[in-house]
Amino acid sequence: MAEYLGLTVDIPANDPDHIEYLQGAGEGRLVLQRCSDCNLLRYPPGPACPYCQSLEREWEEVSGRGTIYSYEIVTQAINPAYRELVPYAVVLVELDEQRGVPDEHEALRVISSLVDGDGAPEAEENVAIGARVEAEFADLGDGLGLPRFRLSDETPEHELWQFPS
Amino acid sequence: MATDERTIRGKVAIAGLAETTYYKRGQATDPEFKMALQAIIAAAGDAGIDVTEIDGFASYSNDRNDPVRLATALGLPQLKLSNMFWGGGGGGGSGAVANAAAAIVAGYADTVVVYRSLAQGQFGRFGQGSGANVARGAGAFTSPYGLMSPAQSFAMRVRRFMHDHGTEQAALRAISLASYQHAQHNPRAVMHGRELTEEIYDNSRWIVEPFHLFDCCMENDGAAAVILTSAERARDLKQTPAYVLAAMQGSDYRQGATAHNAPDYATSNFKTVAPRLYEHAGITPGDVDVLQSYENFTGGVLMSIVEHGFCEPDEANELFTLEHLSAPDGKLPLNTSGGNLAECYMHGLELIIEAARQVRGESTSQVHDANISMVGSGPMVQPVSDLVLARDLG
Ligand SMILES: [Zn+2]
Repeated sequence: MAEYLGLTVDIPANDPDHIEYLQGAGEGRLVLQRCSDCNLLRYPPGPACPYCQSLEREWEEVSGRGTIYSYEIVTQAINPAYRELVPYAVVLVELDEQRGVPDEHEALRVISSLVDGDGAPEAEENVAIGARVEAEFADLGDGLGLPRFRLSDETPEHELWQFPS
Repeated sequence: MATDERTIRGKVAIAGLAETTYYKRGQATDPEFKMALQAIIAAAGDAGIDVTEIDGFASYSNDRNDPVRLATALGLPQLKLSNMFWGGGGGGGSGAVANAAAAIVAGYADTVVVYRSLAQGQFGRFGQGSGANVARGAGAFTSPYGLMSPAQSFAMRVRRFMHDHGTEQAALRAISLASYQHAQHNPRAVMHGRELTEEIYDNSRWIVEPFHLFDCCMENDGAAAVILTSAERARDLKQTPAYVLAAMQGSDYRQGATAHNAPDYATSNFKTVAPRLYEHAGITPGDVDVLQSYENFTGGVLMSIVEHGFCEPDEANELFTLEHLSAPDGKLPLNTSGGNLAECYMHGLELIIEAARQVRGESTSQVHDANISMVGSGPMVQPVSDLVLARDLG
């Protein structure tokens, strides 16, 4: 059984969209679905294309590079398995691929953890909207992986923004 | 205004309302089902009708007390409407009223009760999120990252809004202060006698930034009900009718929240619902005398009020002050019973009751001459809903 933080990764067998996403991560690749009809990438993985309603798609590796669009620092864990990790950063990462397509508001935005080089939660003072990040992968066992992100050394496009506290 | 044939404008009214005693979570002494019956019976009494005249039920948020069970317990001669609004949280409060009103206009039923009963101590708690599995169901793409509770989920949206529009914490604080101030006049309020100051707010713990403890709804036990009937019949009953000018429900483009991938992210999800509401009601934001806006978290209230056109996103710091949000004289008297933050977390049905009380002139924080009384249900959830009540049909 695949596990993360000691918890069973429990995915229904009839959810191939989700399983294949984590199988890609198990191979160290961030993969998204590309619609076979209108050719657009989408996130989250799912059975239908939200742009043209096609049910045909294939998987494609993306760069794993992006920018933090929003974030928060969790200080009170809900699940006991996460209590050892607090405070930890949850980030919404806007991937570099397909920004502003098919219209200006659209982007591939992925919820994830922001971790440091050792896979531990990144320190709060380093988390900011606008920071550049890149994907890394936690091994879940059973050929599955979990995409996470870490700060990259790229120059941000805009000034960084942090919650004023 | 939309054509008369396709709106419920002025055709239905809230004729009766009631609530049980409101309790802190786990303190209700009666079972949840019995509290539902208490509220329904009391609402019928308030309207001045016999309980057996009720022939329809509408609720939301997966209320556990289903209509057949209620109708059977009450010995109702016949059940004509059994309606549930899909979606969690408080997004369906006004939507349940919308469904009840539509059923009355359509002739499906004549006297419909909208109700909510909630004994969180007897069942599970809302707001706790799930903990058991890490990758199943609605949270499949979020829970592995430790994003599990509604507070954690919504904080990300609010933070992005604050980034985009320079919104300050003081604007969120003003919402909380107004609710607590109004609750001090309301003996029903769970937080009656518990004053909130800027200092207490500022020193309270973070649940998750930007939400202090006092930015988050309470957890409570209780039940509430409103009786809807045709405007014509309501005029012959005991109370001043609170006419339904419009009620609307819906969700914007791809707002399914769980994976946080909505193209328009920093939104309360009212951008398409609010314009349809105003069109059907035949009013503009400037006509609204008093507003009840569902508080799961204050940030959602702020975004919702912006999306209902009461101010521009970048003007929120100016509008959201205690002075402006206070009854009776504020620019936009808000949550005048104390609402989910300080009266009772009745999943927003207490907001609908308060909106009707304002129309009837019976609020404990009465806005002078209140005519147009509005409710927004469920910011940041999917779907959401809205309601406009009026004293005069104009
Ligand atoms: Zn497509």
